[in-house]
Amino acid sequence: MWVGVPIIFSGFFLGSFYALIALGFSLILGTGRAFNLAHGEMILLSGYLAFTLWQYFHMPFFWILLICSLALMWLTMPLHFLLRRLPEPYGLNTLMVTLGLALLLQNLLLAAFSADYRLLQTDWPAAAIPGLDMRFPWQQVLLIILALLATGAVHLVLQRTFLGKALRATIQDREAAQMAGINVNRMALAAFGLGGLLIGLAGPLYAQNMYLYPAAGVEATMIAIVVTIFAGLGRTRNILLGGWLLGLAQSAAVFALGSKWRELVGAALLLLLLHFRPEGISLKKENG
Amino acid sequence: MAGSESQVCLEVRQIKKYFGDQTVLREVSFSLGEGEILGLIGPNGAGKSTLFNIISGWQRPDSGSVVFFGRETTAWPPDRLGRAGLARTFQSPQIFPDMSALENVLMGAWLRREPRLPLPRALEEAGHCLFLVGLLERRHSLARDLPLAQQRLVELARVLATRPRLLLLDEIAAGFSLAAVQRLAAGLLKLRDRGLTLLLTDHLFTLLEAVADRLLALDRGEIIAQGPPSSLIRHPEVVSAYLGTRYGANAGGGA
Amino acid sequence: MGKAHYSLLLTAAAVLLLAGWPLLFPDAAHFQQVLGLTCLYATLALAWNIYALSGAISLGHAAFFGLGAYASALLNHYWHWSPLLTMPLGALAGVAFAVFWNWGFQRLRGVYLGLASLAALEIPKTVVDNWDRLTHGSMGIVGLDRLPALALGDFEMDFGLNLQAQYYLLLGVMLLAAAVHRQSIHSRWGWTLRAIRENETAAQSLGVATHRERGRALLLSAYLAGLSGGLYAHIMGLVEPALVFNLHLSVLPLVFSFFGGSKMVWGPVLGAFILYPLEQLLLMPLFPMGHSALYGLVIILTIFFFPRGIAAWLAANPKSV
Ligand SMILES: Nc1ncnc2c1ncn2[C@@H]1O[C@H](COP(=O)(O)OP(=O)(O)O)[C@@H](O)[C@H]1O
Ligand SMILES: [Mg+2]
Repeated sequence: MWVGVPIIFSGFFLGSFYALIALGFSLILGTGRAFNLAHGEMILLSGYLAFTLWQYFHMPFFWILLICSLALMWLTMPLHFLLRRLPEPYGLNTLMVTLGLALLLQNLLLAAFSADYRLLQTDWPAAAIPGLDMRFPWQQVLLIILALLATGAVHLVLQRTFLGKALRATIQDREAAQMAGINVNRMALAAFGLGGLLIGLAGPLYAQNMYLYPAAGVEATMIAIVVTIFAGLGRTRNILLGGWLLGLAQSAAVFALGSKWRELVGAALLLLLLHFRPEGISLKKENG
Repeated sequence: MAGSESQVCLEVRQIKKYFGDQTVLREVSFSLGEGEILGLIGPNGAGKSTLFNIISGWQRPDSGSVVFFGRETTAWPPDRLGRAGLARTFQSPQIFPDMSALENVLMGAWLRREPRLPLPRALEEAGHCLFLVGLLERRHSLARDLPLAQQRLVELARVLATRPRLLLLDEIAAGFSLAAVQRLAAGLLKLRDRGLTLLLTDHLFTLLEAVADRLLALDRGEIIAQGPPSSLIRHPEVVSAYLGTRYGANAGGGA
Repeated sequence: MGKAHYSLLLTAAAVLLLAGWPLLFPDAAHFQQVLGLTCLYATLALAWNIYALSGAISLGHAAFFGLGAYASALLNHYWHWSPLLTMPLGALAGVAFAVFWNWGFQRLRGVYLGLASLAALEIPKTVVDNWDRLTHGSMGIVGLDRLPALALGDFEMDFGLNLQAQYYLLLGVMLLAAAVHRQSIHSRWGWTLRAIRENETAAQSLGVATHRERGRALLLSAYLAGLSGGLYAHIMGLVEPALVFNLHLSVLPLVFSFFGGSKMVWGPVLGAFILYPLEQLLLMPLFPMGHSALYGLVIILTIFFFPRGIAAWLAANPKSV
């Protein structure tokens, strides 16, 4: 088999997950103008919740997904009310407050679960891929399916529903949306809720496919930032594309250089993106 | 100095500027003698601020050049032009919000390279410049707390404290009362008597009429007329640029 | 009495207190160690703040710290140079990275500069982690020389083993950094930085070469951060990538500066001296895991309740002291 095949498969697998991770971040940033540096820690929180429910309460995985999604949704929405009160410079202040939150969560997780590596182990069989001499663990298949479904669902919500149109209008031009009678604060709340739902969904999948440890959140946050800046705000299709490209780049780097270089890929891509687009993702140009 | 006539301070040569496929300036040329006061009028969107940005180094023209006291400065960054004696104010005033009015002006006097002044001298000079614009009694107010019109004056005082040779003022009198405009006009004329060269924009005539030796009328990126203020106000093309259907909303030049 | 006299008196009293207490409690080894490290982190916070004075919020100062630590460790490990030489030389590795940073990030501001600096930390970390033949990778380098002993006639100070002497060394370095920091606020250059911070457009049109001045602030900041890293390496006697290129070391100075007051001369020092002993002496025994949660909580509370820092808050509410 050509060496590219496993690279592409693992890139596709990672990338779909990255898109899911970035989706919530992008919604919250776009609508609420908040850089949520605690994004990764919140995914971990959901992951540890899933781990606990599985390990100690022996709950079926489907129920875990549901509970984690709803729990994180209800935990994320209050964040909106907290951040709303921040003074200018708003962007930088959200960055610092969520950095504080990240640190807080990370240490709480450390206190609760210690620094050990945890994995939510489902002993599902592996699925054979027809025509290829490869077997795919079922949890990876589930992850890809769920990630794509979630992305598609968010895309449909944004494109087809009234709420989605109002959200998109808010993302594109907050002032104009406000003048058109959209309650931008309620939109931000909706975005935090939807973002929280996606964070909650990502957690159990993370716990099942990657090792949980309290300091792992930074990398997830970085991934969300890279993909979001690559995609631009409110562009679901670009998020999927960005996720896959990052996933591919990482698997290629791991294959060519070794696994220790993986984390640098995201950081290097972020630096490159910022170098060529120093204003990041601000949609409106400012006049000099 | 050498010649009997005054030296040329600024020369703008065939400046063209596009934003995307919109042509904002097409072949704008003019020159400005030392000690002259030149007014640039034109409706909103005519390209006045863009021209200022190009002269002061904040934007690059797509073609054409700017010559400042005999040196080609088209590609110079704004700080280098600032050190060479070209100062400007901005249409939306650029102040240091957490400094007092006096500290704002002090930045002009103290951070300047040549001549380097010791702090007490710089403070003295800053106070003097603040006095010139009539804001001395507000010297301890935080700049962010001042009304917009006074922030413009703080910016003007700060720029004066750099001892510029050429001063570009972008809609400095916006929001001023008539009395304030007259006071400002008298002040600017005094500055000119000390050898300062001035280039001002406004989309209204009030200030320019009072101080300018010569006016340029800019419309949609083109100079459509020039001459002394009294004649230009009656110039048919200028009148139509202001009162014509195209800019109906901005009409009322003389008000 | 004038305000200037008052603050001079306060400063003198504080310095006397910091210098005097170990003489009264010569056996309080643990306190001396913790307060010594407090001085070290206060130095790092002062370094961080010099860059912040130009308006930049960095989340990547652990890169300078780590490079300073590694460069000093490598010089000591391979060539056996004295730490007294390798620390000031090693800090230059941080400066070299700062040159790259200043060039690469020149168009970035605010949030995006913060994000870029966060990502920048990964570069030296991954390189050091993977360059096994030079740095022994994630195993790190152990057995570094401790800080040396100095003898002046009969009077000997062993900075490596005597915790009291070590405390005085770190206090001295911190006071030196504080003097540099003071100059970076009150001098003409300090006001240049302040002008850039408050309005870069205005500063530039006054003739300030904003990129160059901010770059100077960064280089100075990186040198001091690198120096703290070198000191850390030889206090611990070892370096590891995960230990010194740690996001925690980027966050600590930010928390100390913000909490103490990032526009005040003594702000970063005050922040360090309140928070670090609190965490180490009080919280660590109570919560062996997760005591750093304090810092997260403190950032959030600071930004909401005293955005100008505790020092400014105290100065504005003197009666509540
Ligand atoms: N940064 C920019 N990007 C795109 N278009 C611009 C930009 N700055 C100015 N313009 C356009 O250029 C034209 C001239 O603007 P400006 O120079 O500000 O006019 P004035 O100062 O005479 O009112 C306007 O149509 C404006 O929309
Ligand atoms: Mg204008």
